[in-house]
Amino acid sequence: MSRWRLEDHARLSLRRIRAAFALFLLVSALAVAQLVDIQVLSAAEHTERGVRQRTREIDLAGSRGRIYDREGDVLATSVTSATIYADPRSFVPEVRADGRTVPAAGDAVRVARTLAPLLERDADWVEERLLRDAHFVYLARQVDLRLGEDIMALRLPGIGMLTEPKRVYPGGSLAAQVIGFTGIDGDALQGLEARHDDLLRGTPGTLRFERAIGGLSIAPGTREVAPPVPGRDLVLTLDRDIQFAAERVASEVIERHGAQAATVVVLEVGSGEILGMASAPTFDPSALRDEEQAFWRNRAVTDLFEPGSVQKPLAIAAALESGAITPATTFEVPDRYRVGGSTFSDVSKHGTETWTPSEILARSSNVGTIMIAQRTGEEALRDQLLAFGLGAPSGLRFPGEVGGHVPAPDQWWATTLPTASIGYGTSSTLLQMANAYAALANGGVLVDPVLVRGTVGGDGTLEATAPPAARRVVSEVTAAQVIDMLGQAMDGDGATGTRARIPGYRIGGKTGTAIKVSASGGYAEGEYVSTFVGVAPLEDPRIVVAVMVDDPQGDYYGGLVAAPAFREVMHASLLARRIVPDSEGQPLAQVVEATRDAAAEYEAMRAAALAVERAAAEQAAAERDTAGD
Amino acid sequence: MSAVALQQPRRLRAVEAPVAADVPVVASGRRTLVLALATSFLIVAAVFGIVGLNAMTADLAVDARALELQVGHAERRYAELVAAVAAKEDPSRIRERALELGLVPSTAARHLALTRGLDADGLRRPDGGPVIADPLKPVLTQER
Repeated sequence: MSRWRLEDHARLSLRRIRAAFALFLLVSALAVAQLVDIQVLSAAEHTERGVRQRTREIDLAGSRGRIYDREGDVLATSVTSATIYADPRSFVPEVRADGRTVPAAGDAVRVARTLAPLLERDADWVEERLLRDAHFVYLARQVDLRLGEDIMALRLPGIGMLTEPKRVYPGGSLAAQVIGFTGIDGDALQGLEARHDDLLRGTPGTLRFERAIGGLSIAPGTREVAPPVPGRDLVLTLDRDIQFAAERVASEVIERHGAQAATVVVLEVGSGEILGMASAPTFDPSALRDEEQAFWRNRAVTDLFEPGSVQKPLAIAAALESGAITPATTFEVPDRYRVGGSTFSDVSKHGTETWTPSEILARSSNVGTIMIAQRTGEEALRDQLLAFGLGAPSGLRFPGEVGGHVPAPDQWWATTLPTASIGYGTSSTLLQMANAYAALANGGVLVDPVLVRGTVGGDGTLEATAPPAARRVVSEVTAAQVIDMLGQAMDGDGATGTRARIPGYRIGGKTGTAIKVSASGGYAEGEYVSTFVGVAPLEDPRIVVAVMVDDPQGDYYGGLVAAPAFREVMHASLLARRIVPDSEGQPLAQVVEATRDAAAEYEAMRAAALAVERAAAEQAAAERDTAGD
Repeated sequence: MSAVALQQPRRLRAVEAPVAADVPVVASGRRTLVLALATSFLIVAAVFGIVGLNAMTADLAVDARALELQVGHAERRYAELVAAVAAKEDPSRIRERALELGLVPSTAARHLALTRGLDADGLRRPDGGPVIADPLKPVLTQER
């Protein structure tokens, strides 16, 4: 019995040992399988997870490109700013899961009182934010970095600082409608900022580094930097000085004439480059206000108007180009003329006069221009207006640009020809009108206007934009004849543009006064658009300036309102582009001599004035003495 | 004479000393010791070397980080200065300042005809060199 039990027990033990061994093998196999899975099959995933645990990746913002004027003066740039935030949880006691209460890290009232003067806010305003039921509240965004550093130096509980790029416009409102602006988060919203956002916006980079427990960087650890690519800088065709002059004049003309708005365009002849494009009233993109949204648009390309008499040179160009007239053709021009059941009249009454096209233009005769247009014919006039770029966007592709309106052939009624020839019934932007004059000044070749000269990358070299499209719209002879007529419109009896003359330069230009179209249809009685478009110097035109004043009060004729503004802008443009007056270019010796003469004259006048002053003082003293006696 | 031959007296012969190679026991122990010492030295030196190199790397990394910080500060400052200079050059500010100083706008600007032509903005030299920027404002360069 005992022997059996012993054998049986041994057998049982052996089975148990085998079972335990089998179990051990099974567990080992599972462990090995798991190891194979971790080390071989899922190795990549686990490696990545490990890397993820010990590495940190930070986005490096690509800086936004600057915007320069044509001379390299900065119009828009970016700086680093500070954003101050608070964690309101730091200002309320925390009740933990175990029921314990942890006191608040800071006192909201004390922190608010400390921060309020620094943030230029009311202490109650700051305190209200600090006590909000939130994890994160902004206290100030994009403030000066030094202010942020000063606040951080106070080591206030629950207050933190982030750095973020801030777009700044050093010129304030200078070229604001052209440049546009970005939002507080860096999104391009208006103007060239939006139009060329793809170029200006940089590509973000990344910084990867290994970190230890607690988030500290491991100094000798892996550090990979994919540097951010800064956006390209934009070099505009604008000239800062000309732009400033245009904006100043536009603002002054509004003030002087109580107008609703004024727009100025300055174009370089031949290149199509826009040297200035101003709209007033304007705004400061660094301090945007919702109520100023109407001022954000670039009126020179977004606002249509019936051009009025400034379209007459284009109608005369159409007549000359079609061969219907020559500069010597004469017309018997009455002051009233009936066409298509409507009566058209000149602004000033006159008897029936024999005028050439040049005289008709100088006097801005509606009747004479209509008579010329009748010889041209509808089709030729319409085709020529379209060739000058009216009725279609200019090719600038500026956000919000409109094309204007030239009636389709099937919409030409009996009165369309006369009205279109004198600038009614069609609509265009001021830029289109300026560009049409630039085509005449450029020997008949229309060049699409451009606002961007090129872009500058990291290597600092200017990559020029493709040259603008150019096409001939009238012959060189026609262009020269019309430019000559524009010159004559500035001088002589009855000329409307005399107030646009600049001493030393020969100018050519045309006034325009059009009744505004009413929002409810028809024309708004007593509301006008005054315009002047001109070129200089007449012998070799280099610059075109167009001025449009919307709804001036009191005087409203283009020759009285827009022409003086044109003179100021054109003069500033000629000086800025260093275009020497026709009558000048004197040798230095002559200038020095003239200056000496002027100085001597000044001294003589000063001495005479002093003598008069002295005599008056002596006389007054004598009178006092007499009165005292 | 007896049959027993007289034996020649035995002489001691000098035994040749064994060559060193045949008795290596003591020398072998020393060499092992030397090898062990050398190995230990090498291991210690390697450990110190690696630690030293690591320390140097860490030190340089800290320096590099400090330099990066300085570069960041300098770039930030440069951007601020560019904006500040542009704001100071703003024509409206200059005009305002000029009016404050009692200056009045010129109504009779005069021009001098220079006998010597200056390089104009965008001019290409006859020798085919690069396009020259405006000499009065040579700003579109790498040092801008």
